[in-house]
Amino acid sequence: MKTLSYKSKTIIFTIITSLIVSSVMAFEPTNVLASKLASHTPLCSTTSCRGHDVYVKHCEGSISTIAQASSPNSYVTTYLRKSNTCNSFWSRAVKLSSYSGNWMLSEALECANNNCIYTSTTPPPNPSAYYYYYPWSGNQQTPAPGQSSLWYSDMVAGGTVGGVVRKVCARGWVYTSNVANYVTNSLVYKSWACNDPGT
Amino acid sequence: MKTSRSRLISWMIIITLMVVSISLSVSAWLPISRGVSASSAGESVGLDSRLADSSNVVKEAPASSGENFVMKSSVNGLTAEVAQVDLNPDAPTVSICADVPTIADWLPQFSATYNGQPVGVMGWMLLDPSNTAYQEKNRCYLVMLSSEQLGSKKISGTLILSLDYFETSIPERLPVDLIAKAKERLKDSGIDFEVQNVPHGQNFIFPKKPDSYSDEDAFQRVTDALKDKVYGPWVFTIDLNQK
Repeated sequence: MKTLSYKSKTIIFTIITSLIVSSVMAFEPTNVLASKLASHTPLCSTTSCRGHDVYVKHCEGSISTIAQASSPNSYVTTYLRKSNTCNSFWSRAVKLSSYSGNWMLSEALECANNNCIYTSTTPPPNPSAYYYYYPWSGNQQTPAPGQSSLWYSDMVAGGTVGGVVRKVCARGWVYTSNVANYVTNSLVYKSWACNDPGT
Repeated sequence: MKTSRSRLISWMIIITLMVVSISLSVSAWLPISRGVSASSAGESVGLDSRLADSSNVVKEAPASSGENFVMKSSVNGLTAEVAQVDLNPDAPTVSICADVPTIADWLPQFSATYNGQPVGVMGWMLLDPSNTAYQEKNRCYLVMLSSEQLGSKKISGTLILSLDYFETSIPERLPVDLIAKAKERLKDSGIDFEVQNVPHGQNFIFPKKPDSYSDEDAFQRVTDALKDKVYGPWVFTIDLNQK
């Protein structure tokens, strides 16, 4: 039997390699390949995510919107967002572009067995009776957010504690203020979205 | 001569194999590409169905507080079903299960009327006890209606609930490919935008926009361009008269 020359072997090797590579690519769409290359390993899970930014902890790989709610006149729409990879939640607030309020806030809260946990040290707007009844976490407040801002809070934990599913809520605020951290106008609009209808 | 012929045959085999493998790759990509382009164009996938006659409105069914019943509506192969109406005066709700266009983070957008008057839709919540909804193409939602119109007096008449359309959520940090897609969609509008990362958010800057556009107008156009939308509507007529 005739032995293949080096050149023939090279050609056959090239053909086989091309076939294997193209077959793999054929069943792996480019966007999946790209996301695999770009994805990061999550750096936290449930309770260890508390108080952290979803992007800093690389929890953005698989995000779901669990609930959506709007304030009267839709001045602020709040989304309860979940990282399926980190099993954590956060709040996202979107201000209606035509609303002229110059402050907004995005908060998240987790509760289980009537025990609510929060990690934030950011002061809430004052006065806010509702705040003192329910400790919220992940406050993010910004002055003069402008018309085009979308804000999100730090994360709170998902999952269960002692077999009880954590109830999680997101809350968004828009309001007008002339003094930092104080509401100086009675027109405060807020909406909250939760993972439990009874929350 | 013989060597030349062998070389020619070898090259023909190589070229044929390459063509076959490229065709394989392209054919495997095509269905996905089509699926993306159908919704990424931001066009109304279900506009024709919106013009259809009563095919969206399924038979009326009696409803009372907490009573289970089923109504279905199908548009362009996507089916939505009312599973339950709860006329709790403090928190009236309707449960709906619906096919979503793809396995992505689609947000349903609802509207409602009660005896011809608009009813506020306060929001919705994903019903997902098994935490697997994000992987499924049929998802259930609890739609929360305003109690101002429905909760303050004896309820009777007709509630019309519409799942108007689905839209994709916008990521907290916009990826470059989504920014590029939105810019492409806006290329004829005279709007250009940039995003500026700030802690826990992004600001939008408009280096170019038509003189007649305010920043609010431009922002609205940009957010629309960032979303894919699939329109219904999936409409349900619910008879609220107590029988």
